Amino acid sequence: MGIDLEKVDRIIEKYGNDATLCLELLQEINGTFRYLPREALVRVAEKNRTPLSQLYAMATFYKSFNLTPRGEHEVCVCMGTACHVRGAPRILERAEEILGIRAGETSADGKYTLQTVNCLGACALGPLVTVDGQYHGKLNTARVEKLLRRSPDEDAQEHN
Amino acid sequence: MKMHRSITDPAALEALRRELMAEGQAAGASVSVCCGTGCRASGALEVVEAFKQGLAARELPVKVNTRMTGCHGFCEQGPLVVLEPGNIFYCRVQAADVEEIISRTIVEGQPVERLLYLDSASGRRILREENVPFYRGQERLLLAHNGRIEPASLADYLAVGGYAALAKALTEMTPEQVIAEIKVSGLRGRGGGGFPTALKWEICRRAEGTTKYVVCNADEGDPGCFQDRSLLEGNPHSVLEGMLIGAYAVGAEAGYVYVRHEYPLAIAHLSGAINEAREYGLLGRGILGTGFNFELKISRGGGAFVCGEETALISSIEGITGEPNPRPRPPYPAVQGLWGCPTVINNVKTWATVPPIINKGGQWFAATGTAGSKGTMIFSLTGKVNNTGLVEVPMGITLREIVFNLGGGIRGGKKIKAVQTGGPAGGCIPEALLDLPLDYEQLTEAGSMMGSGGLIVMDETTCMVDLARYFLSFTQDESCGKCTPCREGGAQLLHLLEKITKGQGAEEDLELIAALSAAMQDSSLCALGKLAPNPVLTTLRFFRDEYLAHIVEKRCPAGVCRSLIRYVIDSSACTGCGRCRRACPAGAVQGTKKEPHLIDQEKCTRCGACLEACRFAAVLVN
Amino acid sequence: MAGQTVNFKLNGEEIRAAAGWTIWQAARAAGVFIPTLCHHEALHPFGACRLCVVEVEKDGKKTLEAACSYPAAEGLSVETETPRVQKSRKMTAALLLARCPSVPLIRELAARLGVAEDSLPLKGRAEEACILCGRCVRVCREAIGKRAVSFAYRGPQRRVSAPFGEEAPDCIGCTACVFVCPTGAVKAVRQDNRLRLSPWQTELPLLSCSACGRSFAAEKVLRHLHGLQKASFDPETLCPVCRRKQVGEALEKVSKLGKAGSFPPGKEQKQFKH
Ligand SMILES: Cc1cc2nc3c(=O)[nH]c(=O)nc-3n(C[C@H](O)[C@H](O)[C@H](O)COP(=O)(O)O)c2cc1C
Ligand code: SF4
Ligand code: FES
Ligand code: FES
Repeated sequence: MGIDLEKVDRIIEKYGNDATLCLELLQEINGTFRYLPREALVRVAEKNRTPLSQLYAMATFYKSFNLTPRGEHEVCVCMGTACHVRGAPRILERAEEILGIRAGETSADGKYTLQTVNCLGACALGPLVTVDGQYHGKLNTARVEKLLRRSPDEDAQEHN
Repeated sequence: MKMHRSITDPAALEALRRELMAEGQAAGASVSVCCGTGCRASGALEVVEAFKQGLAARELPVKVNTRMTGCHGFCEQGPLVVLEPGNIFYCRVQAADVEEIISRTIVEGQPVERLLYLDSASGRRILREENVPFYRGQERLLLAHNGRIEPASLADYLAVGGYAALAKALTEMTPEQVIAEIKVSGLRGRGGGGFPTALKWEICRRAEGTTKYVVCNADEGDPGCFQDRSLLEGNPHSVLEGMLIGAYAVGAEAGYVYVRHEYPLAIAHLSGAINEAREYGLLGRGILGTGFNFELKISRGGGAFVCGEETALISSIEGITGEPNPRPRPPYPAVQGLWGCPTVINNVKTWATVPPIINKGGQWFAATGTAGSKGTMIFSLTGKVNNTGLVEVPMGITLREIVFNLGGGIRGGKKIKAVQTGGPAGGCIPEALLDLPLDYEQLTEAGSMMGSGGLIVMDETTCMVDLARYFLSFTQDESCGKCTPCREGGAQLLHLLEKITKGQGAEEDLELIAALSAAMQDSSLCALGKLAPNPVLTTLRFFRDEYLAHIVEKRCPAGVCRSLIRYVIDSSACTGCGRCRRACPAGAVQGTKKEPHLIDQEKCTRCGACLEACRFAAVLVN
Repeated sequence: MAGQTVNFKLNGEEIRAAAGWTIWQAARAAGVFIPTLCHHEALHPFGACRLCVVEVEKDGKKTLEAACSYPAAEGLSVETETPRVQKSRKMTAALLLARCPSVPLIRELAARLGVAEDSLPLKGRAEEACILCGRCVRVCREAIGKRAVSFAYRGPQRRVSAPFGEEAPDCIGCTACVFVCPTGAVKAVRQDNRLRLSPWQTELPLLSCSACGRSFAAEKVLRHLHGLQKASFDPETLCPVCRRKQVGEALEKVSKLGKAGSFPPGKEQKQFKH
């Protein structure tokens, strides 16, 4: 799969060859392409004379990075303690059923990625799910159903 | 707000402050809308918009400022709106309510009854924010200004006395005197370990080397905690000021704030504050006309709990050169930290506590608390309690007071079983020990720890074995995997707990659990592995009977562990409304309208949707 | 600080160690054996396997610490074989045995410490040989300066790996990783003039000696060495045996000529080249 290396180059240029900014640089690539394409990492390694192995180590160590493309929409279920005791496992299971994918997976049509996170820091509103960064709090299985059955695209259309 | 560029000396700072305060007093009224992450999730931004439009559309006798503040700590009731004068407190405000608030309260001076907080204990509506029980029992030192100021606004921070402590430290105190004052205060680290802050600073000050660093640990990985987010989001300047004072005390000219990437709003507000501080000369060279220089950068985490551990955090900031795994200590970071230079790492709350101590003195701070634990502590009160949110309480208060006075007791009138403090590194404290005063040593003695302030309340429907399993799966997920006891031992331990929750455990397993836990505590490389067995050991100590119920009777008393429960419908309570039938994703609920329903155990996946859906408490867990 | 010493107690006896030494180094100098797995003298202390734990008393508090990385310091009291130490080592061995059930080194260790087979419920794959001591990763980074391989993933998924689990572009084929691996998890196979390294999924062509024709080293290694030490003769074509021979011949020539100081000869070198 070819990617736009010029985009990568621009990002590399923006952060320069500063070891302390490497994490940020990867974050931006991950955000731009919705994952860390291998070609991009190879490019960073070449341009910044960074060992590719270190980039690979970072890419697999930190949770926020993906090595395969994420879907257009990201559904993220909070599994923090407060959410857990208020039923997050059931919410996750419902989300898995509705989207037809397991946590960490992307649907075959590339529309959704389902992820879990260990705390979103809005514990008082648990159980909590974010869809494309939007928080939805105080959920129960029925509300998850409502939230996910209608795609965010429909939402967007309604707003227009 | 008009402000002159660059504050060049303490006198200019004071002059500007007087001006800003006068301006504030002149303003007639204000509407403060909480725009923290929680309230935003409940629609706060739409409320702000409605206020702005509504107020602009009207001719009002006084000027009303709309202010977007940081988190007030009562996120569950959000979006929150506080009106001044009068300290009128509205909760769960939606954009549609705004028109009424403007016409009733701002114009006519009458409260909108239905938006006032309803105190479930007395059944009365409460008018003023300060009288809401959730706030009344608190002693807000760090959170004092969160609901009053625009987070990244230097002007607002100055108007509430900001940067006075910095001016005092730089012009009236030597670095040694600053450290001495912190020592008198008895301040201990709020990031979990409770290490005396002054001692850490002293070690760093004395350490060899000309380049030194200060670092703010805002990784807040503890699931169930959000006070650091709240502080950074709501009052970033207070953290900045604390770091400036600390840097002056230890002799550092550069610092980092390490923030987890899951906190975009905190990062935005913090960088706003840093930019403004730099613009006005509160960061950079020759701060306030003295010889003190300081620069601050933000470093974003990548989603790894272990990076909150200080040596791993250092590697993470250093970037590609270091593996983000904990390193053996000593040497400690205060002697050899970032790039081998002496480095002081403190938690967000620790830094934010510094300015008030410098302002009011160490003695004043030490007057609150117990012999070994001084000042206030912020807890994230969550779980099965009526009022969830952030509470800042004096050390020494009992857990019972927090849960029942501030938290308003247990939801749905259920019985409290235990509270969990310290997150995945902490332990469960059973109901019988709730009169324990809040104190580093006493909590540790009970097998838990203060941690960074998580306080999760559990009732009879929380399964303690499941909870232990939950925390262990968290620590396993977040373990870096470097050392054998944590990586391999944790996996074995988790396996055993999973067996038990599935009803496949044996009594001997409990011995093995104890042995594995002891090995992890004793020989893991970093505190993650050393503390990971705590939730297991405390639940085993206080709730052994629950473990035995799973193992011997193959029964989950709390009705949580899937493999051990059945959902059944109480035919005498069932009205045949059909809600459960519609809710069940497996089609396991059968029955005709207005007749008692039945659950087909073959089809039932035990997801609990029927229980959630039932309004007549007719679904029972066996 | 050079020349400074520290005094501390080891198993009840007062011993002296050079400042900067670890407890393990001091113990070895004093003839006290402390078992290690992840430690390697050519590498920085890592402290990962936790087999080397000893009981350290400091300021009245006793804790288990890794001897391989804990600095010897004035006034410590260290015990290397207390029941607490033995219990911890035994559990570490049991955990490693469960992970790597068929590695001889681990099996011996476990047997020596009295660990029963199947003492833990969760079993690793029979073919798992890596104990994650990281010596391969560290030698590549610290001694060779290449960082061709690294750790990847974290927690129970942690592993040593070449980038993307495929061929390591920065690998020069020095095989230092094979040399330091204590369990045989890292392997090198030389066949058909090629060097295959596992688990790095890396294959490199080997150079043949211009004199004897045997394949002896990967070209990249020689280039690397060439870059490091400015050897004045071209090392790219000779295997170590032939090189030694050549050096001997050159020496002989030099002594015959009675001319000292011109070794290694620059010009004569070329005549060995084809
Ligand atoms: C696994 C692990 C995670 C930690 N996470 C945090 C954290 O998120 N925030 C924090 O302030 N301290 C955290 N700590 C504690 C830090 O290592 C360190 O002790 C603390 O930042 C020191 O600051 P203090 O003295 O102000 O508490 C963590 C420790 C461990 C072992
Ligand atoms: S205790 Fe766990 S998190 Fe800490 S170094 Fe060991 S494996 Fe890593
Ligand atoms: S976000 Fe509004 S009260 Fe916490
Ligand atoms: S030899 Fe010390 S921890 Fe491995």
